[in-house]
Amino acid sequence: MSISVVGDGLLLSQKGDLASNDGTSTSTVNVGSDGQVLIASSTSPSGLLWTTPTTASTDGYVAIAYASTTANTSTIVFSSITGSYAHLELHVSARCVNGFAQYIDIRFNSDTASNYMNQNMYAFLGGSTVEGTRTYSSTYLTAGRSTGGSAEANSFGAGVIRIYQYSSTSVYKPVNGISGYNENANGNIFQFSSQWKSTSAITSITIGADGFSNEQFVSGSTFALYGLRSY
Amino acid sequence: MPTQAEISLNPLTAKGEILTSNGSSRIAVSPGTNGQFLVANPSSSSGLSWSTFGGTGGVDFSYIATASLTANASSLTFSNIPSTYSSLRIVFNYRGATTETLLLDINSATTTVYASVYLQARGLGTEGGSQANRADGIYTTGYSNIFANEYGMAIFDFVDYQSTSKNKIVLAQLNAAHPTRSNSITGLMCGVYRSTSSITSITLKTNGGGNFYGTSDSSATTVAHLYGLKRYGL
Repeated sequence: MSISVVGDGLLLSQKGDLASNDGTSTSTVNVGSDGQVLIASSTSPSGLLWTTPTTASTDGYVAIAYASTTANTSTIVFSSITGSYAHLELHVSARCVNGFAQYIDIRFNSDTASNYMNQNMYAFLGGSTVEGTRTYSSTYLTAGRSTGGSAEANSFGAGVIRIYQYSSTSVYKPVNGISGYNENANGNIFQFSSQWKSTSAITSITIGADGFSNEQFVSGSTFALYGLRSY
Repeated sequence: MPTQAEISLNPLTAKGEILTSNGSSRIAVSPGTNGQFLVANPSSSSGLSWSTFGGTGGVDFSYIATASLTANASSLTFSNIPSTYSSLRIVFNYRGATTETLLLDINSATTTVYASVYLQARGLGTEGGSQANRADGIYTTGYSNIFANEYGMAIFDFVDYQSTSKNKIVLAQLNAAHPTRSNSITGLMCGVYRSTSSITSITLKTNGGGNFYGTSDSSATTVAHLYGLKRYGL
């Protein structure tokens, strides 16, 4: 058995144990449950308290995860999403390595089967028509547009994506959003209304590009996930 | 296993202190204030620091400001927008003294840095359109209603508005609904402000220079509300 011994002989014998002081002598603080955070609490014996972070914010919107790429990256994964909220909202600012533009795609719970339905409409800069496409049995959900490496420098696509009733275990998951890119010479406005045909609660979101091909997001792409509380 | 020197070291003397290492020796981290939580922070000597949930006040979606008109005018401006958020959202409710489309001026830029692409249903038809190389603002396609009690509405989202390395994208949903009038529309717009400058001011203005209706109209008026969203960890 491997143990650590500090000055007064305190034993940190369990995984995650912390050494602290209760005001009189050194004490042990046992680790909290998965997902809990350690907060300062002058009323607890140790002065420390493990608590669930969602109780700390009283906001209707809660920032629950964030990723920013620092190198070319194929996929972004938000995992261990708790069922604490009514809906989720994802804000994306992305640019890919290749082409003038790419699609931003999503999978839930690592599901790669043909369980995604896509309906979208869009218009191109310079065009005069509104167009639409649909797929009933896709292996991913098409959730927006980004620019690519051939686009104007510093040009990124953006999207606001909403995932409704994500924690339900009785309904398929509706997802909609608005997205687009614009570099003056090329541009696209894109709205989608889609569905993941599963009654499983969403616990992970994987974001990729170009149908989860070998396409990558460049450094500086950002992905911010929010939870929307119900009353 | 710790060395004998480490065994003899006990820097914990006050309630709530935590034992950690600065890379060369064991040190005590002083307790935070009530409610703060411990986060990894490579720039601090201990590699740890106490932080407040969701930034100041623990609020991730915050009201920032209101711009409203008490007299007819051709524009409303949000200035001195702080860079402490990740995304901005504007909710705009407007009525024109004349029929007008909307422009979005950012940072008072007057060069050809604005472009937009949009789609809309207007009456019974649908159409796509775009306007590039504009110097006076992003053309948003939203129409203003001009009749009493009839207001157009728009929601604008700015993701990563505070970035200093990206051109700024604006996404909008616009509506001016009345079933018997030709300027009744519902539309979507993706605009760009082709600058890497952080957005510090936004002006909502009419395309043709006419006025928004600013006189009290059944206790309502042209008004815009600005909100900020903080990302996780900010």
